[in-house]
Amino acid sequence: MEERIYVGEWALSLIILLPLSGVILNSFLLSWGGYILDLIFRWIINRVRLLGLFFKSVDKLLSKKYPDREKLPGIRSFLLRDEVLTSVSLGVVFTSFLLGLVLWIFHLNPLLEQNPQGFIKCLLWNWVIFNDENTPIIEVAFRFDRLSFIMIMVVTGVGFLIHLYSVGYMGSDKGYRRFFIYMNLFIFFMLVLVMADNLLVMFIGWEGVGLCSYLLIGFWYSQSTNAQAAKKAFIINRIGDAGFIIGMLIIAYATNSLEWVEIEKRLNQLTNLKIGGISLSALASLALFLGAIGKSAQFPLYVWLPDAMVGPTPVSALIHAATMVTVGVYMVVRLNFLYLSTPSVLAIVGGIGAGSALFSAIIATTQNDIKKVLAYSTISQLGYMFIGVGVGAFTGAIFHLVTHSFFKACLFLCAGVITYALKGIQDIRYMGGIKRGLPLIYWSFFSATLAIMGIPPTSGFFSKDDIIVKAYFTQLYSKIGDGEFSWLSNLYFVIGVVTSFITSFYMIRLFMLVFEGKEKFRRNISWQLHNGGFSMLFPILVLAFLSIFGGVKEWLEGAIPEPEFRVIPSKEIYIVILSIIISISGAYLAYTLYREPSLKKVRFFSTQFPFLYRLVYNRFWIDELFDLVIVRPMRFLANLLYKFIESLLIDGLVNLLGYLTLGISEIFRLILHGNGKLQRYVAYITIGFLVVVLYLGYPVTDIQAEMDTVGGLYIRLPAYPGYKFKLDFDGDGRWDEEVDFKTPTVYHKFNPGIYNIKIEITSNWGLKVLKNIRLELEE
Amino acid sequence: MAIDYGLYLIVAVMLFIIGAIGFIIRRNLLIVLMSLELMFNGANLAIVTFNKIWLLKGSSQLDGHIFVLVNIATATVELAIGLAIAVLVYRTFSTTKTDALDKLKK
Repeated sequence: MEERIYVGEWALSLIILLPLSGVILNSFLLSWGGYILDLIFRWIINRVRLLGLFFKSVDKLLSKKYPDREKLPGIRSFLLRDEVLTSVSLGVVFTSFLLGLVLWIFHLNPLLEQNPQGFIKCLLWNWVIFNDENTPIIEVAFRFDRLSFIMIMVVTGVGFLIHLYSVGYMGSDKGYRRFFIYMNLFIFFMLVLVMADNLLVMFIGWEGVGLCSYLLIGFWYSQSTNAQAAKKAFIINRIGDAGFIIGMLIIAYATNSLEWVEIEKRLNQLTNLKIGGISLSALASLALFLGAIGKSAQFPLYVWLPDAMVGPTPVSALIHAATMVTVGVYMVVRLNFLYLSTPSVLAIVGGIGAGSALFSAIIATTQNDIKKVLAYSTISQLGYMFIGVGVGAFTGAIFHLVTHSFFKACLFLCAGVITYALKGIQDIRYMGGIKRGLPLIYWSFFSATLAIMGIPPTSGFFSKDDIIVKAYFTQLYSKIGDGEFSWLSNLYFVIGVVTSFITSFYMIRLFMLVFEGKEKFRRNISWQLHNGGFSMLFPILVLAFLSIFGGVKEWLEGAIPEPEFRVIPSKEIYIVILSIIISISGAYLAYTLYREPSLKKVRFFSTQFPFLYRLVYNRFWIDELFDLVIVRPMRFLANLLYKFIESLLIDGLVNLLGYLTLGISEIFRLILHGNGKLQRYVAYITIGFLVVVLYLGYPVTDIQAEMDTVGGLYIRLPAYPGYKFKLDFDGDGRWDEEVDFKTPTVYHKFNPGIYNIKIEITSNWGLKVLKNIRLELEE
Repeated sequence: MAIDYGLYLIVAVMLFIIGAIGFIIRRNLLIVLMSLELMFNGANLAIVTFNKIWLLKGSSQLDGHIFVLVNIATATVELAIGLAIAVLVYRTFSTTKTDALDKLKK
């Protein structure tokens, strides 16, 4: 048993470290690794006979098999091939996935019940150690329990599929290697995030995935829109991350710990401390939720996500749909005990989620870029998850997270294939009729669409209805105040249902415009997926399969503690039927509107209500509002500061100093002639400094001698730390006495005569100096 | 823990010396700036080590650690200014070779 846990810990750290090792290995091979390997191989070939022969034959074989333009030696050119990099980066992700499964089978499988604790913890090292014993050590530790297991499966499973897809999608890209290194790095940080055992380690992952998101949004950085979008995502996430840090600090301040288990134990300390009538737990959870808003693109910090769609499509699928943007939900679920202690904050969480769900679903109905529609849909679905979290349906939220990662990744990958086939067209007004060209994509997209609409028996139906039903039956909000907010749950329920109507509408609109009707693009498209047909199709098919059949909630049951719901089965059935009918009616509306090729009925709407249409089409002018309220005043202020404070005051002062220096140096230049090279001067200064140091290290020879009446001589030696002395009184060449600075006074008795006293002084620098004293002693 | 803190000091001195030599002999302005950072870090490491030795001897003061934090902040600011200067130098002389920068002589 004990040994098994030990092995488990190793496997646990391996899950995380494997993607990192992929990053390191590939970067090594990309940079100077090839040259070093080359050197090593050459050395072996020249020095070690047998191994050398072996390597030589391998070398010949490989260079025959992979002839290289650059005429590199065979082994090296083999190691630098894209196939090696691809298999490394795919291999590490897949191995992590398998390891996660194995760990689950051995430790957390509820059937085996081998681990009563419910989780494994793996301590890598102690990170911050304080001298104060009351302050706990901050550990770099990882935790494997059922919740993180689910997330590991999503991250590495969906991650692997999207890696595989990228092999085909990015195959002809110049940045192929860079792309895979970034993707592996992302998987690594994501695993750190979901497996963290304390808030600080989670924060590392949190920031790391933000970094990878930035790098991958701006992957084609030479286009300025991409660079701008990357910056936008990064900067907006800073706002959220500031909230995360504040929340973390509040928790650390109140509970003196950051570990999940410890925080839960000391929750009382959080709830009891109050600032202005608001408990610290409410403040902390609000601040942490701000982080979730930023990362999970909720209102009002969602604006970066639609812009982030300029990145490569696999990135949109993996980072901006399936994994990274859902970590806000994961974080809140992970801290469920904290959030449950403050139902009012949960009400805010649900409110923000409901608002985002409805708002972005409305926007999605009028967008024309296929990826932007899906981006707004992602925001909307994330809003659903936050409704689920807000009403206490943590299992439902995580369940929806999982199924959403299936169907949304599938949708994005399909969109990727379509834009790939259409050579870069993303505007759905120029698509249509793709059904005929890409039948497999058509069916995959269709099944994922059914899942997002929540049509039974697809996976989306189970997860979405779990949230909607629990929103209706939640008891949480009656605990706020005197129960005057209990209507909130009904409100969220209604918003959820209305959103599912709009969701069906825009998804079917997208579907009709893209796949049905006439072909509106005027290019000769050969409907063959070029290289890597399998690598792009296989993930889509797997994800399509999962979006239909992935709705198995049983293995989530009991993974996360939940508040009680008083679910009335007779009512539940009505709710489920209602939500199905509503979503089908939304689909039907879209179908009738967009069935006709002329889109007459759609035009009727947009001409009849032009303001409403323009309002939605322009995304409620939220971006412009931000620009007006935040960006412009900021620019104005920055300009003001730049012109007056920076240019006039600071630069003025610095320039004054510069002119002063110039003036003084002008004088010196008249006196001295240099060659003008600063580094020469620095060398002179260094030499001068060394001289001074040597002088300081040169022994001080400050010796005082004093005679007493009986012929004894007191010799006072310079007692500087580290000094050692050797004394020779009679001049015979042998040292008579050796002392150091601790006994600085030496006493010696002399008979009358002439003496040559020699004293050797060794300084603390080890420099020696010999001092002679001539002593004439008369009787 | 029996760690010979002298080793830390040796690393610090090595860092400093590598930095100083780099600062004097390298001719690329950016590498000169990097060498400067090396020297900074050597000094910082030495300060932290001395503080640690002090702590081991029973003192509870953390002045050295805090001083190093201030130092790092200062070094960052200094590097920012240094990079700005490097950019300006490149704009003015269109080179980052330090050999070209002998305008002090006139």
